[in-house]
Amino acid sequence: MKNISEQLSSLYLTTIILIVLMLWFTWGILLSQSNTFGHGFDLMNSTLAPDWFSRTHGLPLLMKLWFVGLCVVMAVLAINLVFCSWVKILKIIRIKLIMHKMVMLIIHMVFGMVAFGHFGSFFLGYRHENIKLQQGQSFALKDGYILNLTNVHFVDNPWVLGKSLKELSPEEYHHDANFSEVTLSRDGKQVTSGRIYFLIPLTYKNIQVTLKRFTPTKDITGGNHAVQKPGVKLVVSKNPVKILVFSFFPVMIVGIGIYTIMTWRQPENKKAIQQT
Amino acid sequence: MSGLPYSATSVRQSALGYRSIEDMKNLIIVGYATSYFFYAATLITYLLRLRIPWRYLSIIALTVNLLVLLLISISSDHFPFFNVFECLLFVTFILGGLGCFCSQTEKHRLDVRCWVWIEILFLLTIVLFFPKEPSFYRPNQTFLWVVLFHGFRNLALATMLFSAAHFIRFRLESRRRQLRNYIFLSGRNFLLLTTVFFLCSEYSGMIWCQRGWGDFWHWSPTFFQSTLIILCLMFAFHIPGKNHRSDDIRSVIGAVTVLLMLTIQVTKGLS
Repeated sequence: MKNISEQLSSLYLTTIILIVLMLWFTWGILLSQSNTFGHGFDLMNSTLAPDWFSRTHGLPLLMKLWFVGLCVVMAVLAINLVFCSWVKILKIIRIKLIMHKMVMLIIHMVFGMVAFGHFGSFFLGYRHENIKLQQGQSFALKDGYILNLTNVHFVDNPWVLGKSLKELSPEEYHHDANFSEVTLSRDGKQVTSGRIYFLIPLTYKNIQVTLKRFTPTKDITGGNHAVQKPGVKLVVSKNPVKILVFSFFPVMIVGIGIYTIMTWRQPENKKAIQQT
Repeated sequence: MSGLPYSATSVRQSALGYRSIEDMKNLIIVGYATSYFFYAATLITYLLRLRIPWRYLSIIALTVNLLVLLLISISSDHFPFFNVFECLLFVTFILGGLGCFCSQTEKHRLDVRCWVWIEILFLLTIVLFFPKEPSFYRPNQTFLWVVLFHGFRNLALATMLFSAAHFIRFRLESRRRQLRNYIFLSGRNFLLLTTVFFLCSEYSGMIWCQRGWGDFWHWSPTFFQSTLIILCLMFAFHIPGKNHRSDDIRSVIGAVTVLLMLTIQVTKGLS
């Protein structure tokens, strides 16, 4: 039993897992760049994990295997982390409290929380990608909320929406002046409303309404885009574990920063370095 | 829709400003060539052990590098972090600063400082194959988290290159045990600092992604590449053992990680 726990907490196992993870992500890069599986990754970005395994619209088998394999390797890493942390805690209690080792232990625990929150975000909440709406239209969310697009405020020439981002100049497109107004209502009652700009979403509880981009409108009468207001492409997401990841991640960075300062080693054998 | 900013006036202003933009571009290219020359001169004088000239030349090279970065910022109205040209010039400036002020001259000719100058020239040579102009206007270039993402990432690349200079020096030395306390540990210190900067960049990127796409993670090659870099850094710190062989492996991984990071940065520019 002791032998198994030693093996599960060993640094050798950690390095093996890290190598496997590196290979796994390299494989992921190759898969995501192939035309065959690119669509699968689009599906992964627009829905949550339960939908990836649906029989009708799910992922290709190879991608399912890739994701399951990733989860298995991460699970082994989690076991390694738990055993390793436990051994370290015992050492600290029994032998001696060394401050920088304690900091390192905390960093590892926080890393575990971040990874756990990350994993949870694949399963919890919901995600509606690429909702195309025109002014006055609405969209029903999974948990009974109704999203209404009350106004689209676009100050630039809608013609620029047909251009790529590279072609746009600051004079042509004013991202801080273009916005749309949305409301969220439930059971006929409005619960929140606000403006959404490029990179400034509207957040209510765990629900986030994000403006992805403005969409050009095609006018039937002769292609004059300026006549009609542009539409919007929105993303609505609900991620209850987002807060966990966003609060623990900076703790991990600060922890590593403190560890760096505590263990910053000055050169000891300066004799070896002779100034010319 | 009144008072539209896309009027004919702005087009005329753009036409009038075209000339000065071209002048600015030429000035930036001249500045780049000048800093390249002075960095090369610094390396040569450093190898020849001309103590006073290399010091002056390195300061001139750094100053010219800084001036080019300022020119880019003024002409484009954004920080010089975004395309390969801007990014690598920023990295050379930070790396040059670290080489000047955070390392020492050793008896050995190919010391850490020398490797820093070689790395700088390598980066400036990569730049030769890319357009030497400020990046295209993107609406997100003034967004705080986007700026922090790119800024920290470039900072991480610079400190990682500095760390790699220590590891290369360590690996090339036959009497490595004697150098462990100075060269290897300095490399390890800067690799830890790199990790902090890189994670700061990742955190900023997560906020950017959350605000722009409604989620902090995306199943895409760019996210996988970032994860790969983090895994490489984790790998470098998790090599078991406290003997010289483990140090050898750590130094190799530390040096390889910088190549991976640089490749990712450059291939992004190509795409």
